[in-house]
Amino acid sequence: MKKSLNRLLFKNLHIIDIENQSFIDGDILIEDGKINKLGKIKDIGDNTKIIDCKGMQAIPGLVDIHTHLREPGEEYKETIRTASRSAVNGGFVAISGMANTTPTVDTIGTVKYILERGKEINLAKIYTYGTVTKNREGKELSEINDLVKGGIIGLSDDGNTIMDPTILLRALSYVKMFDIPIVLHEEDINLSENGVMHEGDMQTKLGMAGIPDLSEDTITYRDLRIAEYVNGRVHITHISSKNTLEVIDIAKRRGVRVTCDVTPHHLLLNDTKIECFDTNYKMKPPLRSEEDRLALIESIKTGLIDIIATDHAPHAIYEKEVEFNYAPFGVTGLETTFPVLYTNLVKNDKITIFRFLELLNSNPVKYFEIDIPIDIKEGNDATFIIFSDDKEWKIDTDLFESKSRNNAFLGEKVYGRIEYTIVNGDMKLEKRKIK
Amino acid sequence: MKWTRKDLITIEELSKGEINLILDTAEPFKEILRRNIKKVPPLRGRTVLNLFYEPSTRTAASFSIAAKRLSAEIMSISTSTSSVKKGETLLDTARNLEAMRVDMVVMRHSCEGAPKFLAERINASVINAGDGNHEHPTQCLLDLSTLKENVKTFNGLKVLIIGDIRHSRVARSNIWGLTKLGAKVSVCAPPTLIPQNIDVLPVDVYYHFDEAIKDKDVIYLLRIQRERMKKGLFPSTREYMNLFSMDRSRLKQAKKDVIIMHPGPINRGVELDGDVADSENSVILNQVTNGVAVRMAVLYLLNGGNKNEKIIE
Repeated sequence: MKKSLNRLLFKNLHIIDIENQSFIDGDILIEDGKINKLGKIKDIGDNTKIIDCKGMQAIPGLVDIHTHLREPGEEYKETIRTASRSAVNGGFVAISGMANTTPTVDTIGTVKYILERGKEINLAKIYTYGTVTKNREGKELSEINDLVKGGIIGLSDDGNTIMDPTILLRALSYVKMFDIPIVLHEEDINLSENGVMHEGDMQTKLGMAGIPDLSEDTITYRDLRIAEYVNGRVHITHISSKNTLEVIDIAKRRGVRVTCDVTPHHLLLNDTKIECFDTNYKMKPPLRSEEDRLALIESIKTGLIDIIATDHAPHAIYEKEVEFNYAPFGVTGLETTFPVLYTNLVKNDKITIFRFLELLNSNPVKYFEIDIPIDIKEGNDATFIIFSDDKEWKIDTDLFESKSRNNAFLGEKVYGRIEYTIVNGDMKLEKRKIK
Repeated sequence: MKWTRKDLITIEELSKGEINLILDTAEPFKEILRRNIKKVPPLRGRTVLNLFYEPSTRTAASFSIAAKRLSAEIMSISTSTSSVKKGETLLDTARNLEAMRVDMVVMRHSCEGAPKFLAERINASVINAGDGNHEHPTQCLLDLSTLKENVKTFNGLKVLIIGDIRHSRVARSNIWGLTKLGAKVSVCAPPTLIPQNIDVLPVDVYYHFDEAIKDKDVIYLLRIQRERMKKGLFPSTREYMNLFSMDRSRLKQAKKDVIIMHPGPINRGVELDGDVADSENSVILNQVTNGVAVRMAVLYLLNGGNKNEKIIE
């Protein structure tokens, strides 16, 4: 008997050409994990599985540099398996886990555990951060050389701002020998106190404890000066306010080695959503004012913001379905990022699909050394995604592969549905079904 | 005007007509409370639950008396928020109440939005008896009802609210209630006790008491909580009193017939001098009496009653 079909042919696609900033109509032939041929393909040899993709588009796979895998330690919220399924269901071919697991990722053992689990599951490529300080306590540096050997892509105490400036100064200086970035969650905890939402108009009406934008921009300024002083490399994650953008703009002009990202929810939602006390709008940093939101949109156009990251933060339903003050911070994002951004940014002509892919593919790949192709070309690894755009659909929890349901876009009507996610020639998602 | 809501959660969402309906409904109940026999039958066979996640004496008692006057069964559960945090979730509590077929729940909670959370999940009517720093609608309604007895009209009435506006559910409800009826509201406090974006609320802001009180018809004092001091919101009770306490000498600067109000309990000698609290200008105890009548009106309306004629024989 003949061996099974080992070639894949995707027919009738609209294929992106990043290099020439255009699209071509044609087919993609995959063999041995690589793109063998691209264009109008007529001679179809044996052993070829043919998939008709009429009307669909092929683009490079999305990369998320800020996912909370929750494993090890909080497997009831998410596991590396469910996060991987969630990723390929949402068009992400690579995701990087944040270091705030239990135990935290501060030893090489934990790094290896996460990376090996990722390989066993073999859906999206799994990467991880290590912590800057042991147990994310902001006191003693982790054994960074070990973590780097283990294969981390960066360091972060995410969620715990390093409040002692001398620790950050030393960490940024020490890390220079490895050339990896330190990812910073910027929040002066003294200023955010017990706050649960943006301190602004809606918070004044609702009376809830506020988190001023000041808690973000003041410490961002401090940390960028520290980075400048030691010529260290920082990445500011999930920035939420106009004032923080101004601080980063100044630093970039001064030549500080800084990159930054924003989440889909900060780009598309503002604090007025909290009027109904829905905990699916509770996250850190909080949704801010409309003025802040518009400034963030402007900055993904100008290039001040380099990356869009999901900050996918799963929580169990029972943890979120409580009084607003008691609910944990965070929302999921892997399965909604593509459709909500494609609908609201690309289809609305706020940014082009090419800029969109810089933010979600080529910049993450470049700044975090992630091994994912940034174009669809002959000879490249066959890692890309195919989506349809012909029908409006509604975001519904039934469609989620994540263990959790805490999403800020439930019920939204969107366009852009991921149909196939292909990683190294394997269909991880085939006709919206996971392998 | 007919009452159509299942719950009473905020004053902000009520129309002027709805507020007036509650105030009008409260009038005959005031009369009933002056009788020897104060009990009427409209809520016979109904079960009202006081669910207090925060300590309260007067509000819980006021709702209990109101429910009993209307012949409802009332039971009270008070529990500190900390023990609840460890135990049952509010969602489970809601499901249990639903299973017990309670008709109305009066809820106080330290978390803003908790009564709304409950209201969305049970069929019983929910009355917000104070949620964090958000709203305290029945306090506002009893204040309006008391003012109604003492002023000709709300139109153009100048009301000054003094104290911790930032952390006050009473202030938020009253700002909405008073302005909806046509009054002009000002607030006065040190800047640390004024909410960050106060300009979204329909009020004028003063930092200086003496400047603020001159032409006001009503002065409403809020209870000052000493624990705010520790967070650096003001340096000492002494300094707060020097700047914002309502005493005899300040009363002289106000209009002669100025009305003095306070939601209680009073810190005598802190935000309000004992003398002033007991003066002829003070309607503080009327507020308490009217609290029962107004809460009767709210329970009555939420139970589906719309005409008062039958209650008064």
